[in-house]
Amino acid sequence: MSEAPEGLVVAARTRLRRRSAIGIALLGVIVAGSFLVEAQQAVGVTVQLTGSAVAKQYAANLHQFYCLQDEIHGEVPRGAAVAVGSGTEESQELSELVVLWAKPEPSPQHSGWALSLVTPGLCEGVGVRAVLHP
Amino acid sequence: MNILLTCAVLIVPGILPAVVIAGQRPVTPFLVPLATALMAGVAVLAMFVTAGSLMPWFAVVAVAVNLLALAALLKGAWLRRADSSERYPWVTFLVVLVAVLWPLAVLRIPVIGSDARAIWLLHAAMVFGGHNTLVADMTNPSYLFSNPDYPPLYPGLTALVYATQGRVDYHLGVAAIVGLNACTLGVVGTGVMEAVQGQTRTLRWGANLLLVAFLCGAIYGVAGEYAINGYADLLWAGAAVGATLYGLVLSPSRGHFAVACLCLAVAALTKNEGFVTSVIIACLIASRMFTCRPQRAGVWLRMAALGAALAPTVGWIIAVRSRGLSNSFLGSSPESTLTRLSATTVGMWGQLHLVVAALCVLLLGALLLRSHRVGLGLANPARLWAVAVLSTLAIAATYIFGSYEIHWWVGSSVNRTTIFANSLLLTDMAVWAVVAMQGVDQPAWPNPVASANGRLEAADLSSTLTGP
Repeated sequence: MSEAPEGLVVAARTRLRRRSAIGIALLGVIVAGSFLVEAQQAVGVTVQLTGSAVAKQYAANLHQFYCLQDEIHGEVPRGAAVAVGSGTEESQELSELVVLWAKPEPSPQHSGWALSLVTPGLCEGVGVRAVLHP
Repeated sequence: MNILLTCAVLIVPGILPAVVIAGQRPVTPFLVPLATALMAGVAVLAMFVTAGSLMPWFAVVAVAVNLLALAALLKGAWLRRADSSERYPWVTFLVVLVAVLWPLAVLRIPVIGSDARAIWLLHAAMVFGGHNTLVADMTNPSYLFSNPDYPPLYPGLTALVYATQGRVDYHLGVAAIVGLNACTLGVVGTGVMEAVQGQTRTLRWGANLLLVAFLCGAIYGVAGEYAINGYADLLWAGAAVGATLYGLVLSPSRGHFAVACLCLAVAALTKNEGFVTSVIIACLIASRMFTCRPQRAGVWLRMAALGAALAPTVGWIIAVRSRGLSNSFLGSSPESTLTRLSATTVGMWGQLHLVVAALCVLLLGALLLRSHRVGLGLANPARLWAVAVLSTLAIAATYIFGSYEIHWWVGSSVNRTTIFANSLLLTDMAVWAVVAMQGVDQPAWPNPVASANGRLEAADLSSTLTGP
């Protein structure tokens, strides 16, 4: 009488454990798959950025930025108000370039100087033109 | 020589506060630069509202914080070993360190993103210029494109680098921020290892460590180029994931709570969405303290600590608003709300590809592993998911009610604004995997150290996720 129910209980527990093991294995597969896919992307980005062409481009960008700053420092006196325009990529870049050196303004009304980016130039093909308004 | 000076300035001021906050645990070295960055952010706030330049203010803040830390250290109330019998803490630290450091090989190249230069490094240059320059430039309409109201932690730390170099060095400034990004991932990685708390066999412990290393790599994968090009998104996201893990997942010990507070403060003082997310996390930590903690002594002290973690950012918001500063993306839009809602939903859903996998893991874990989770003293994952959902909704609302052309805006930023949610989901999956490794061939066991405060919460995990 007592053996049959005990056997059933043991069988039920075994089934439950097997299902649990399958579930846990499934969980492991999902986690491992997700992590591997994402980690692979990280490796891909690292390899791409360390590639020589991309690396050269980034180095050239930073060199151009510092070079343009040097040009501005050479042409515009420190603390001057400079007209850089507004609402364009060029005006934004010029505002970045004059930080800590000159005071950017949207229009030339109150500015002594007007700045613009020109090509060709000495800084990776780009230069700065500074015009003093009368 | 200057590099050594820079490293010393970024590390030394944070050592004592980090030790007081976390004790002698693998997470502590990763907290050191974060503590310094926080002090730099507070110094910028002080400089902005008063006068002077960054270095004197940083010195004042660093000395004050270190004196407080020293007092706490001498009192002996905070300096403790790990909350549990942690296994091989040095090995844990070194493996996580390697896992978070390898992408930094890119740093020999000046990988500087356009927004990093147009916003963060620009603000850092303004901070480097001192109070007058900072106020004049931030209130200058020509710099409105750089969102002058953004919080000052990143510019503060980068300006500290400039000050030690004596010049503006964008490459080194980005390197410092990438180092901070790595530290936030180190906090997350060591936090997941704290979930097992030495209750496991060596082989299984090693598997957990390998999993954590892959978690760090996976979060780098989610962040992509933004992890190393000077953007602030991984910094706030990593810190906010750390705050969620230590404050809402691990057992609510004093050490875990203190780490959560530091991470909250860093996330909030890094970016606007970081502040919103930090407020959400702080509210949930407070609710956890009030609803689940058997011993409520000290709850009000902890509430004060949460308030103190958010206070620098609140102070910054008041300071910039009082000068009429705002960002450039809030305002009226020519597009209809429905158009913006549709574009936002499509754009964000396309990036939140981990949701399905994380939901499957959550379901399997809740069905099969809840007793093991209870045994490890880990909290209900519902709060972690609440953080992910509410933070994502807050970011979506910014897109919907913002002023930029929506398709361009979503297309150019959604892969950054979803870094936090994806990283949090990856971390939840890692925690479940750690629990699963404990549960492969063992029955659930009670953990007298860790589960003392977590038992009630983990018990309501079963009712929340699997019904009565």
